[in-house]
Amino acid sequence: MRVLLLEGITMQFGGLTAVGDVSLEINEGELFGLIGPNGAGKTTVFNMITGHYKPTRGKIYFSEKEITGLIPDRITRMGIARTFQNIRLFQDLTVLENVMVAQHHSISSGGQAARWFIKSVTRIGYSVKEREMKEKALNLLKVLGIEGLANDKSGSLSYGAQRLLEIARAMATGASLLLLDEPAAGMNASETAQLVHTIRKIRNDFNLTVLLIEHDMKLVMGLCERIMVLDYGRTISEGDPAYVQKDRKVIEAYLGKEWVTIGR
Amino acid sequence: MDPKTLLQNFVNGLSLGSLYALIAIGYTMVYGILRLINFAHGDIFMMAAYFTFFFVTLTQLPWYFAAIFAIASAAVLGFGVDRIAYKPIRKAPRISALITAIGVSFFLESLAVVIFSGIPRSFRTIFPQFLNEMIILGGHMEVKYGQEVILGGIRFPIISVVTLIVTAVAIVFLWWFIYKTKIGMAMRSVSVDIPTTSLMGVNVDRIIGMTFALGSALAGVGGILWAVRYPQVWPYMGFIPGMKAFVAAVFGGIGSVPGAVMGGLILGITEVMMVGLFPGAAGYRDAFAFFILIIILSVKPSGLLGKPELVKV
Amino acid sequence: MTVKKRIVFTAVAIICLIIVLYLSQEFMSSYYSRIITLIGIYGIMAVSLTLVNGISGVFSLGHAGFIAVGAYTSALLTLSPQQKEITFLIEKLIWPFNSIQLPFFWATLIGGVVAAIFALAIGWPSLRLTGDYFAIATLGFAEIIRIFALNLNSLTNGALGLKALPDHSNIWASWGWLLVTVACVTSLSYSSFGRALRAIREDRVAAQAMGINVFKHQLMAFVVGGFFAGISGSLYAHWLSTIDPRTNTIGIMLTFNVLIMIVLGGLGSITGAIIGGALFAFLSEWLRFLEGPMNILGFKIMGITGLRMLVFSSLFVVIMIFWPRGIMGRREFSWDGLASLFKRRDRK
Ligand SMILES: Nc1ncnc2c1ncn2[C@@H]1O[C@H](COP(=O)(O)OP(=O)(O)O)[C@@H](O)[C@H]1O
Ligand SMILES: [Mg+2]
Repeated sequence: MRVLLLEGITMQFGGLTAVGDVSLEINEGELFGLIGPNGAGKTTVFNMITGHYKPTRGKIYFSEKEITGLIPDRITRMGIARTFQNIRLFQDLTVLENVMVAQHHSISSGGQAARWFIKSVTRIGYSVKEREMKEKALNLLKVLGIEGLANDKSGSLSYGAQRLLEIARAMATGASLLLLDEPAAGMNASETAQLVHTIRKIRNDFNLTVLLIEHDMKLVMGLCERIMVLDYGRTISEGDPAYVQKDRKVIEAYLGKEWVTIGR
Repeated sequence: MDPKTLLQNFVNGLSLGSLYALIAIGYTMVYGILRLINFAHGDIFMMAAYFTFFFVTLTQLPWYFAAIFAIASAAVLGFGVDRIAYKPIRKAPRISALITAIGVSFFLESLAVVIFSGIPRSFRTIFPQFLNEMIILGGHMEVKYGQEVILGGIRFPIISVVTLIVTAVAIVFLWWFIYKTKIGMAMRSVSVDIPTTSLMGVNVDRIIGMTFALGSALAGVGGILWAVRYPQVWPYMGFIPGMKAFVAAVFGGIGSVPGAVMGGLILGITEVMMVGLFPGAAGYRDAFAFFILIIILSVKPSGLLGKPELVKV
Repeated sequence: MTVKKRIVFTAVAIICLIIVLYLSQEFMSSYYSRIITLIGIYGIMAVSLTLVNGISGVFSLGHAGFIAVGAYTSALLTLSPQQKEITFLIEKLIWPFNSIQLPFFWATLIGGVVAAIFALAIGWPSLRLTGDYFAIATLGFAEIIRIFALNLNSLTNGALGLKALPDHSNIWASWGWLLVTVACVTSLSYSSFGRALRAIREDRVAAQAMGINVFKHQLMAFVVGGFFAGISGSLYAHWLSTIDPRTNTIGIMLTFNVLIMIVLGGLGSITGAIIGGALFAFLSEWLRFLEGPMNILGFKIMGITGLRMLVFSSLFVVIMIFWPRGIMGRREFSWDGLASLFKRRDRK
């Protein structure tokens, strides 16, 4: 079943076309990679899907419903969650709280907000919910292997742990489609290997569809089932890892730049 | 409104607006560089009026010495405020800077209360009397300050015309300074990109200080003219004009000097016109500016000439 | 520490507080019991502003506006019709206020509700703005409220204001409402809603990406803050026994005073807000000597008006520059914290 459909989306900033006419289909359960040199427009694609930017042209569908131009929190509640390339955790909150915040929309959206608001202020019938959210959060932290840090301030975590927490937090929203923006950036080799394992595991155990942006080619090639390559905002190649790896256009786009990192 | 009253109101509105513009320039320049609403700006305006008053009273020298002294002191004060209060917290969150600015504003106001006392003082004897006389076009009667006019003819106080001329000169000077001098160039460069400018060997803190001084000097000019127009000085005289000038700066597009001038003039004219059209609403004239502010902020926060800011994710 | 133990401790502390308040009500001079009442009122003002400016991460400069709304509303409800007849000289008071009189509790509650409605109406357009633009917009709205209070003669009695309010604000009323305020704001701020507010404060974009409707949550905090500001306004008016539209009664000056309290106590801490409110009440009484005649080294000097304000504003700027976290930072009082404090002392 088709989960995500991008139809010719374009994003212009003044004269600069950051993303031009990109189309894409992702099916349920897929692990899809979005790669390309720095400044190719990958993060911008994410920003358009999650509603942080409104596309200049084109349409976006999630589970066959159009979501173009909806506000970000609405899109998250529909089932798309993301991580940020330049980590955006709630620094002054603990690791556990970060994950619990992501569940908050389950009691604050729609008509039930008033009821839960009164329950929270009066503390009548609230503690059950709090405990439930806490358990779910601890469980997710366990899945990502950072449950030991639950009570630390998230700002004090190592880079790698922060990236993992971003993933846990995105999962806690209950989304079925995860968008991961360079999840391995700043990790060392063993952390990266562990991450590949974890991403595969959460995809299987939680029935997720994953779209990920990555710079580390080894990771993408080993992990993703399908890959799309962007350069200067345009799609230059799409297919399975083996195909993309041999595509002349891709090699040209990366030559002298990050292609070198493959051999690393 | 008959054409005569209309013209009268127009001239008065224009001169009030040019005072707003003079203050608004300081807000807009500082905001353009530091993204800081310098709350204390209106109080520097007030201080300049007091400096003039006491200089004349204490030294008995002619008013133009006093004016020069007050404008220079305002510049030094603006520079000092930046050095002492804002510079230590340049790296702090933007909101801390705003809170500090509010504190500085109250500090200057209470300082004025302590030094000059909270009682309003008449400014009428400080400047030559003729400024507050009326010009009458189409009539031939001279009217002293505060007297009623029964005769026809378009009338407005001389100070309105003087204000317009002084403002025009100040703006030409500012334009020359920003576009034709090295410091002005550095100011423009700092407002675009602080790190790059400092890499090019410019002492950014000095340029920021100069910006405060320049903006404060203009506010000083405005303060003196204001005190002549409503001939009195008191410690809280800066609050309302300061707020309105801020509204003017936002209206014109904060960060843009031509925008501040335009916003000031439009605000002054509409305010006077509104009171002219609905004399019953005169008590609400100060609320009017805030209404405009809220409408602009909700409809087009970037103002007439400002560029919208995109939040990068 | 177990939950049960904490509840017991809290209950004991509240009982002790009640006893202390009772004793001070009975045995202290009326001057001191007035100050203790004022501490409670300042506490409500500071805690309600902390919810908005410290916890939700929006910066409102309109607190005095809501205090004013609460003050006028409740004053119009507690004054007797005869008194209103005497007070309203410029224009007659409009119906229905000219003919009703309510008990203080209900008048205060209605004052809070009306202030909350104002907060809703003001927050709706203003909260589309961020950062300092929001600050300025709320300042503008508060000033508009003050200007209306100055001009709506048939409702507010214009510049003369309302006089001879019954002296309902005693220790019980102010500390009782303070307790309600603290209980509500604390439980809200330590619920999932409060967590969401703090998340928005830390990173608005990320909070949105977690499915949180930022506007709705900030509006909620703003309205709750407005409600308690209105309550404090009612208490304040009946403490002063008059209410008028001057800048230092309900204008920017009042907002500034509440800002000093929360900055002094630590922006973002409810405990800090209460401490800040108490310190402010205390200091502003104590510093009164500055404005009276003084005797320095044998020289008699006249009192200097405005010196208190000068001290406060310098204190404020100095705190912002050298001690921006204030007394509590973002920490809160807790029994565990207290226990560990003592343990550390013991070891030394
Ligand atoms: N808010 C914005 N305003 C202006 N330009 C932007 C904005 N966001 C992204 N861009 C530009 O769009 C291009 C693509 O950026 P991005 O999507 O972040 O690239 P990638 O994630 O592939 O490295 C870059 O040239 C970047 O400068
Ligand atoms: Mg990117």
